[in-house]
Amino acid sequence: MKLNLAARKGILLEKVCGKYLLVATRMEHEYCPYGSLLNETAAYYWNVLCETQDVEEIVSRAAVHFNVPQELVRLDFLRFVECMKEQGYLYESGLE
Amino acid sequence: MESTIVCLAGIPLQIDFLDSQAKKYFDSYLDLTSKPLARIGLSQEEFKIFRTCYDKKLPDHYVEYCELVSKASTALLPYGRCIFHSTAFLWEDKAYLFTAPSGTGKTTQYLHWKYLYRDKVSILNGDKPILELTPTGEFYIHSSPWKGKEGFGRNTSAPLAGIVFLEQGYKNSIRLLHPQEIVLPFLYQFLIDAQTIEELRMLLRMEEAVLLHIPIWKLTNLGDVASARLCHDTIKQYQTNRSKFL
Repeated sequence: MKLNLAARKGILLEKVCGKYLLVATRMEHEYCPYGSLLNETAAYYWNVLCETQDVEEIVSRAAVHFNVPQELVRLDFLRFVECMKEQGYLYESGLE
Repeated sequence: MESTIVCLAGIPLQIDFLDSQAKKYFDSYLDLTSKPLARIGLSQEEFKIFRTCYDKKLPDHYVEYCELVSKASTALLPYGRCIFHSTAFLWEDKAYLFTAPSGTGKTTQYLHWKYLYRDKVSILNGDKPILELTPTGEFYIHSSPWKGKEGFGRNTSAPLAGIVFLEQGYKNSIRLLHPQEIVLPFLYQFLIDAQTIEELRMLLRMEEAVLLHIPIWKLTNLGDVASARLCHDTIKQYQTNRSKFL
């Protein structure tokens, strides 16, 4: 299954003092918050999501990375996607 | 369109004004002999958008002056400087910052210090000083033309020795913060108009450097004189202990 969502272009994920910070350039401010903190799992999802939108690939990569069952990762990842979409960091790629 | 060159924290910038009357706010920072390293200004389209956010009674030149702050800050970023929303003051030849969202009591805290410690403290900039990270890793605070509604400030600089993050509360307390506790709220105090990922990277590098090298206290306070005394005594104690190990 391929996600019909993409990460906004003007977003940067950086580690600052050990915390994962998601920051938006000015052109993205009308769609999403200027800054948000992510935990380590969410930061991992974000980075993989910037490379591929294939849910199965993301889930299997994350399952290996965190050494947890795929079913658990799938639920967690889809919750993450929903949250990022709600905040505006992800957009429906067919619409823009 | 009228232009002028100003020197902010040692960096000459050219400002292009839509309203020539906005130039007067920069009089103390004119530098007509240097070659500008960057050029800033608002477009008519930007101004129209920003204008709607201000009271209609305020003149256009004042709105333009206010909105130039983030343009200047972004232009200074490649030179290791950025405008930081805070009240900067001098104490024992060092600069200290009170920072917090607007309306939290930065100016009030400074006025309490002034009342208690008189000539030992003096204002550097009331609202938007420039923070500099030098290539050798030192931090300096410079004044800027944006001094806040009280107009507090004078064109001078000093090494940065500490930052106090203010928070209103029902009792006075103060503690040294771990950098991780303040990563997000601290980011919001840098006034910047980042258009590119590279500008965001520069900003975050500067933020991390400050968080890792400058002591930052959180002062929860009632906005009274006692909170200023508590803050002063805590910083004094910290600096005394620190000097014993240097």
